[in-house]
Amino acid sequence: MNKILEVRNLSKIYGPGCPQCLDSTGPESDTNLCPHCRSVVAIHGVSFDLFEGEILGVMGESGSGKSTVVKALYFDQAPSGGEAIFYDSPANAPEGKHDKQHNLFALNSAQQRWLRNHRFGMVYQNPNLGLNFNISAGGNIAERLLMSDLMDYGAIRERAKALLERTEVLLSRVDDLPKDFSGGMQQRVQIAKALATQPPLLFLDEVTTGLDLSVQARILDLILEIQQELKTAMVVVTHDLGVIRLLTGRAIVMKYGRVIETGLTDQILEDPQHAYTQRLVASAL
Amino acid sequence: MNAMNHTTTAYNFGFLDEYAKKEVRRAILKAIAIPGYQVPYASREMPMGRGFGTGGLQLTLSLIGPDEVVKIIDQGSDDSVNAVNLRQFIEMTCPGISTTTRTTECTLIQSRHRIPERPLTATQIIILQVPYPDPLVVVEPSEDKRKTMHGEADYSRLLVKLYEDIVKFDEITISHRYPTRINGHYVIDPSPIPRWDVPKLHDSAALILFGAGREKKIYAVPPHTKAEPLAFSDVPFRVEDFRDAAGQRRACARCGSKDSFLDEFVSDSGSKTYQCSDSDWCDGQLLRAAQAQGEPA
Repeated sequence: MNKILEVRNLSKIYGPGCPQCLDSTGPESDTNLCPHCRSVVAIHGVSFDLFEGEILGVMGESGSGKSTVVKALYFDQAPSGGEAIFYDSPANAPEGKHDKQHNLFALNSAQQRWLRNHRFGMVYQNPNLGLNFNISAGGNIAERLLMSDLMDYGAIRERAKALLERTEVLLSRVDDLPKDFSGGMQQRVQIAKALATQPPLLFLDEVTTGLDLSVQARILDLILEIQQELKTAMVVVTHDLGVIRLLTGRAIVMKYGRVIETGLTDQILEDPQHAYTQRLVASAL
Repeated sequence: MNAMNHTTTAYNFGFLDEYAKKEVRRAILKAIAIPGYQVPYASREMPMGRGFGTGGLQLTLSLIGPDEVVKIIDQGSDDSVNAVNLRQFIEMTCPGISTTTRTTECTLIQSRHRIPERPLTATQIIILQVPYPDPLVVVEPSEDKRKTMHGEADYSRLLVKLYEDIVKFDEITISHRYPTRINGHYVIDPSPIPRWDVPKLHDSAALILFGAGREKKIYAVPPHTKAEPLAFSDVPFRVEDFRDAAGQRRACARCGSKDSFLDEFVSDSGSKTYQCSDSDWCDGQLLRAAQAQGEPA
């Protein structure tokens, strides 16, 4: 199996930061707020690998830093430290470059934007962040295709329709505004948009939170089908253990910005080692 | 000082003081060096409201010399109120210069909404008055983000607007201010010129300058520079075609020209007539027709 993403010691601190920050925060200190300088240590020392076609789960309670991890990797927020290397397949290396490795946080903003538009996809919990509500569903997908330099109207239209059909959005609504859609449908449009460029790496941030159970089940089915079809690697952020169990092969558990447990999903859910994970699993059952 | 010697009235030649002119000229040079880039400058207070062509006027007054022949156009016409007032102001503050309505005779043109029909020459400069310099303002309210988007040539959201237009109306409905990519990078808002005039930006012999007084920006399309209107590969850019219901190209009711941009006039009875928007072009056509009649072959 080929490695697609390697994350090492990722950290993000909001605030001035001080030498005592790291020692006085984390699961042992039971806080992520440094008592000395009032900085928030959102994540620190997060490391993991992701392989081609694999789904990795990131779980933890609210404020544990799980969303910050994917936001940093998708360039929404610059991290304070650490590195991440994305291994692109050589066939997809940018024009004029033979290098298929990208050291994500060493790239300039134009290169980061290129990767974000061409090689990554993101589905946010809130469709507001991932979709432009003032342009049609088809236009949202067109935007992503135009970002990746497809300039043919006919081809864009075809692709947008095919993607919406794949994600089970009624084709008669392709030219309607997403704000007139139901929550589940908005989420499906977001998934279609994220998939538009067939990215090898997809970030899913709490995609099913706030949806009713039957809609949740259909979205999860869709994600699994896509993973089977396109062999897309995914990082799934959720606090829902059911989603973790259904989708992911491996998982990491976070608390107060640190990774406290990592391993195969079954292992973590059946035989949790860390006291917090044990509580988490017990409370879900 | 130069400024003192010129002063027969209370004002410096060209109304602006020499330092102000120098600053505008520097911004112009930078704009020419980076085609399509919006150069910020300290737009001065002019004795007229912002939005009445203060940007274009400051460029004109900074570039004008005693031998200049100036033409002022508003909506293609030399005789509309705005053009007449600007011309009088320039005549008043720049003693010794001459003004004209003839495109062939002028060295400097200040214009609102039109580029003359007659191709300009390498010895001419056209200055366009610009209300909204940034084409991205319709898709991104933050100027900070717009600057990044310009820097990275990230114009996909403008293209999405074109996409939405085609979806809704089967064609691109932008009538003026058509976003145009200059020299393969920056996309400009070419001031409210109609689509008809956009191809004239491409490979122009004359220097084309844009001045936005309220927004405090100057940008340029240098001579013989590539200017491509944004479009899809399978839905190309097209200009107004002025065809009537029968598919015939309408002609100017006054001079009969069939290859100029036409204005539509609706009479009280509801009937429509069409006439050249460029009044100098229309007069020229009439003159040539009269000469041809006077000297039969």
